Amino acid sequence: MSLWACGSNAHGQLASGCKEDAHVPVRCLFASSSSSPSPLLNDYPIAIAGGANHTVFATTAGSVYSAGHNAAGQLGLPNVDLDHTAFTQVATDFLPAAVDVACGWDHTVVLTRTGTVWVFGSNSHGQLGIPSVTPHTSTPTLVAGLKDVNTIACGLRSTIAVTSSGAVYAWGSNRHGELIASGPAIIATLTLVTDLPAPVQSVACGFSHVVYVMADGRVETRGRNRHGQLCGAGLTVSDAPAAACFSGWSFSGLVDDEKGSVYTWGRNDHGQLAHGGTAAAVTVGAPALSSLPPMRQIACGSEHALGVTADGSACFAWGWNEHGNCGVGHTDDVLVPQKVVLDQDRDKQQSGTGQEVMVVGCGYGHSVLYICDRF
Amino acid sequence: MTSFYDEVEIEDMDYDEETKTYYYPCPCGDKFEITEDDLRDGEEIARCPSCSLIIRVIYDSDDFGDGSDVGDTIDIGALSISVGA
Repeated sequence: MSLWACGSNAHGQLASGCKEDAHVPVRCLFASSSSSPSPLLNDYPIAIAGGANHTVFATTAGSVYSAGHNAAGQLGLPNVDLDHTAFTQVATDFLPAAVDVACGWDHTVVLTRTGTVWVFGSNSHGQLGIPSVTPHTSTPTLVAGLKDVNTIACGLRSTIAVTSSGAVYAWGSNRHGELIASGPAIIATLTLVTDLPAPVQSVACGFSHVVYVMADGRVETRGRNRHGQLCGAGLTVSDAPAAACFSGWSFSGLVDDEKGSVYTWGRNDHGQLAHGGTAAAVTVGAPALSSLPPMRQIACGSEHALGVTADGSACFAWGWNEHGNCGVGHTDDVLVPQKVVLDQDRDKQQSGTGQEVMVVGCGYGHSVLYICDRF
Repeated sequence: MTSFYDEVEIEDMDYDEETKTYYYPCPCGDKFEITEDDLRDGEEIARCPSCSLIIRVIYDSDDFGDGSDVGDTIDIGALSISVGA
């Protein structure tokens, strides 16, 4: 198995051993693993997330690894003066096994197998939900009072947790009412979101908006609508109530979990909607994209996105690409989704092998892919 | 035509006392920045040091001076004047 990353690398968030941007995916490195290319033998990434300048992933064994900027402790590593240009394991032995990770601009949220939520990094806008942390912490800290959580999501400076029964708790920056309508600008501790019409099954956060998919397949949106990022509200994926939402900073979408069809809305000036052009927001009820084959996972950066095909044989990228974050070998915006270049380092592999894209994740200006060789 | 990534009100930017600069998150992971001096000079474009994106800053010029020197106090003692031939 191998991890690959491309895009902005100002603080070493690509874990490539340097701080140079990469326009095609480069192999990620691990700290203190000179004896083997990766410490992850029989242990595989299951969730990858990134913030402004950091990358975090969780593994099948429940471990957490991080790389990049640590000035606010967002890597969960004690030395906040250092940028980490290789992945380092976070000391998480005092918490239950990690099953998911989410990142804001400079904070990190870990969901564990028992449904508890642990946070580290900046608390400048209450995004950790722990008022006693000022201004930040590098120690994974339990968000008290939360249990049975099965979904997490982060805005730049906010956090949302959804319980197994579909209840939604939110905290952090609420400048545009994206968490709690008419609430204060900062919500310092976890607060129940009470105005959603049904249990929530999926949530995604933008810069100043939030997208929910209800258990009945309806979409609800909250927050700012400057770029049409709320216009998915009212959309219903009737054929497949099991749909997952995704969101960049000011564009969002749905992927139908059964068919893999993709729907997008919101900002499109850099091709974020994958329509093949830069025409502005679509209307409610727009048809599924024809530019993409069926997808099994979509991950979004600030203004770009990655999509893994249903069979895992390819990863498509589209949107803003100034830092090579789409991984297609250039830095022009990608209006028509293109395949991420996956065949780096192939000369070391036997001919006849294939590759499967297992999991992808994005930071705001970078992308990370976990790829398996397939025989 | 100049294309702005966004138009942002000054109240939504983060102010740093030490650098006397206003900051706002840029999609690349760096921050748009504009100094108090820039604002005083009537500048309204905040730039990101790491990419090509720019934002327009919306602010009341009365809060920062209007860019004219009328009514400004100048400390003569601090001025160095050179006279050409």
